[in-house]
Amino acid sequence: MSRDVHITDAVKTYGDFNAVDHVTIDIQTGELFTLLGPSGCGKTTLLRMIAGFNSIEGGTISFGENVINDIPAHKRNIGMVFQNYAIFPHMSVYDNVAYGLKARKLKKTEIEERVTEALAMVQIENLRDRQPANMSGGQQQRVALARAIVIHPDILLMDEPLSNLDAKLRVQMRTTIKKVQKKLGITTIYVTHDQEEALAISDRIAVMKSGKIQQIGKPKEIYTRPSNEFVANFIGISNILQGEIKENHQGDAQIFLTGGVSIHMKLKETGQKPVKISVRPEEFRIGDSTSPGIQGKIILKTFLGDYISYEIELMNGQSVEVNQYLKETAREYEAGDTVSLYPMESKINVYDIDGEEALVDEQKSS
Amino acid sequence: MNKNRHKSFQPDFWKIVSLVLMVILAVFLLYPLITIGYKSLLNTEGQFTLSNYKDFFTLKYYTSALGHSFLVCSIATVFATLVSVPIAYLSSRYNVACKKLLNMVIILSMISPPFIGAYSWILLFGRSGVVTSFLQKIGINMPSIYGFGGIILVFTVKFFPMIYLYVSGALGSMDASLEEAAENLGMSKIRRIMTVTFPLILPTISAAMLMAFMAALADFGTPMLIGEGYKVLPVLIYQQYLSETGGDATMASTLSVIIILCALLVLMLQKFIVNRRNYTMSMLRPPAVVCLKGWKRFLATAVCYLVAFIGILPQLTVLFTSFLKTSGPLFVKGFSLDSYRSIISKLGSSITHTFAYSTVAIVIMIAAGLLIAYLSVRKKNKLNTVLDVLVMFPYVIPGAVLGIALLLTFNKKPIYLTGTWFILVLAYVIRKLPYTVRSSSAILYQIDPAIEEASINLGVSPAKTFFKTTAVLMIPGVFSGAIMSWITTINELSSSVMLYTSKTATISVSVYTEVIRGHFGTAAALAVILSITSALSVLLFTKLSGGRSITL
Repeated sequence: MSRDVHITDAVKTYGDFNAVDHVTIDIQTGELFTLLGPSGCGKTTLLRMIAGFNSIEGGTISFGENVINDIPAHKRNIGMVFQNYAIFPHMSVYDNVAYGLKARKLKKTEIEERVTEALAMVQIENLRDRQPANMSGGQQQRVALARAIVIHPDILLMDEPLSNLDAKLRVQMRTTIKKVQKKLGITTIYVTHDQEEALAISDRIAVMKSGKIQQIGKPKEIYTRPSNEFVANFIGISNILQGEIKENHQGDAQIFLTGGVSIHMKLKETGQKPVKISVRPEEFRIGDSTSPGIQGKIILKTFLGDYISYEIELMNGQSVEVNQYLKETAREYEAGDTVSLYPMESKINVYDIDGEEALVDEQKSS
Repeated sequence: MNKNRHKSFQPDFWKIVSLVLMVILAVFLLYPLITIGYKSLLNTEGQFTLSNYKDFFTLKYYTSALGHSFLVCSIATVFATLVSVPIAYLSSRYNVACKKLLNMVIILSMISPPFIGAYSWILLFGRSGVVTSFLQKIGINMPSIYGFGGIILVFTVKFFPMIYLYVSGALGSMDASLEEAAENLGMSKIRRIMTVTFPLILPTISAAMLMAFMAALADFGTPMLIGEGYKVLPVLIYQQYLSETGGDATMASTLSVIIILCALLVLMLQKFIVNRRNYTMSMLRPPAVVCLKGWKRFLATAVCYLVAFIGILPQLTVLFTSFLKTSGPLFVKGFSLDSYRSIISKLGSSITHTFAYSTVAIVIMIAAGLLIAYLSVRKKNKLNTVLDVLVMFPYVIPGAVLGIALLLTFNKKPIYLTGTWFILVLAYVIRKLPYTVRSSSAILYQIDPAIEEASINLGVSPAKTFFKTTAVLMIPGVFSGAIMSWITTINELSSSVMLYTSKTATISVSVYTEVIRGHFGTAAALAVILSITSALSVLLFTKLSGGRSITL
């Protein structure tokens, strides 16, 4: 039943504003694919174009071989889970889940069978005859999921399904969704603005900004090798330092940072020019002020369980965030201490001065 | 790939609905209004002229009626506000005894049949009124109830319940923390009311005042009965139309256009005031009710009930009158059911008419209200905005004016409706639809659009989806407006009196004609039937909806 999805050069405009700007994505059968981005980036618009609630103004969207641009929403056979659940408040849980099957005019016995199966899959068999009014958010979310999968859709769409749940429930539901999705092997497109959620749940992620795709990749690729400064900042935390390529032998580059520190990187770029260095908080080695590195003073120390987070002001006034993991820690520092920071060359990323292009040569670096 | 492929040509259910409704409104609302505007620009020979308007603004006969209208409506609105706002504050913020009863009495006095107020006050304080005669016996001469003062009295009593209901609703839904914050910041009680409470309900008060003003401006029965020589616009229109029958009703048309323009002016003024001060408040905790003790509580309760009693007094008078023994048109000593017997034998058909026409009208209103609310809230586009404005427009059209417009428009082929029952239903639907549309729109804003998308997504077509999901969820809202449409429809007089014939007279028309003929007993009995039906409708609605309030 499940299908691959091909979005080719899709466009959606509101007035002269491109909400979705020539987007091309190929999603494989059975994949859990996430559209991730800040609000207003076009991810929900794109999802609603797939669902049929927004018109497609350019390009095509196809399921397998079938272009679905002109198929009305109610004939697309897509399951969808809405941000605020959209449970029919005037129907019981059973009737909610059976709704799509009744629309397909299935036999009563088959409806019964499939609803029971779907409710079991999301572990709410006991809620079967309840009215939605007095159900918790998590329970409603499970009903919504059951209602979407019971119709055996070609693909499943999820629009920020966890954003209205509290933190603990969110993690719990995330696991449920992933398990159900894998069990059914259903191609799923998942929209979220929560990067942690995206990393946890997805097979692959497309990061979007201003209607454009910034990067498509597996969660680990996106985290470790962001394709530009925006992605580096949006996924996790990145400290951006100014640097200058001074010596460069066919990509074997010496980059000078602030405070006279230089690092050695393997780049695609062969010229000499100013660049931006992106260093995650855990990609700094922190040491006593006597060890080599960029000097800085600790402004704030925050204990966070398995690690300590320091806010450190460098000599040039820039503030950076550095994590120190307890199990690897030789020595803890206190606010006011002067420390030395050294970026781990194998992990950090280098971008051109506009932050648009990644310069690290991954083949040579890894 | 074809770049324009999204322009598909499937017949869209909602586009068809919106076009059909638009055509219907164009024929039955826009066309009559244009006709009346056109007629106002003709002279009696059918030539184009502005002389009607020139006459209006130069002849004292007309300008004084315009002045009278504005004067009595403004004063009565202010009085009604001054009476109702303190009562609303008392009843919503203090432990006034039996609040439910108080509210019920006030609702009942609001839904009284038209000009019953005027008629009852005449029965009590008129030339041969009960109170007047009694006071005369002990040597006190009452000032005349007729004319300017009488109209203001009746309007004030008639329209304060409406303002009361609006304002007490607003006071009851204000979040407690706002006043608490003011208290916490050191404001004294009086200053708290003046700086927080009052400004926050000001938009509601002004909206309520507008409604009262409009209703007073359009009221035909009251000034007709109690105004005597003091002429206001609706009365003038009615008389002008009757005297012009056979002619082209050009002056009646002119007066109609002028009264509509006046109403529009007031509406725009109110919108201008409210638009700059509109607050959305999220209510977390209702305001606390202050518990008064002893004489303070007694006093608060007494004041509220005194006002409510004055409000319901007209209906009590009518109820009492209806059981008086009559001999022909005269009351004799003792009680009897004569009046009821005589309406059943002579005027039974008017009862049937009222219920038949109102039922047809309310069915149409519910269907149209549902669809129009949906179009204007969920399918916003230029056409549907026009639709919404058009539907709401009759708020500002007095019934007599609408009656004349329909008569002038549909008195010839191809659409000949004069004298039929359909023209009455038409007038009812046009005039009373706004209540249903407004409350239907209000509830629609509370229904998540994703509900419908979920249904479509699960394979149900958009049209079917509407009836299976949104329409079902809208029902409580639709009905809370429809109940108001229904009650005002069965009580409707001002357009019915223009449109009825002897074969289509309704209860309210019969009450009017019976009063004119001096048959007070039968008029009272008919009015009681209307009152009881209205009261039962409200009770039934409250019961069925589990305490949901009526949308005014």
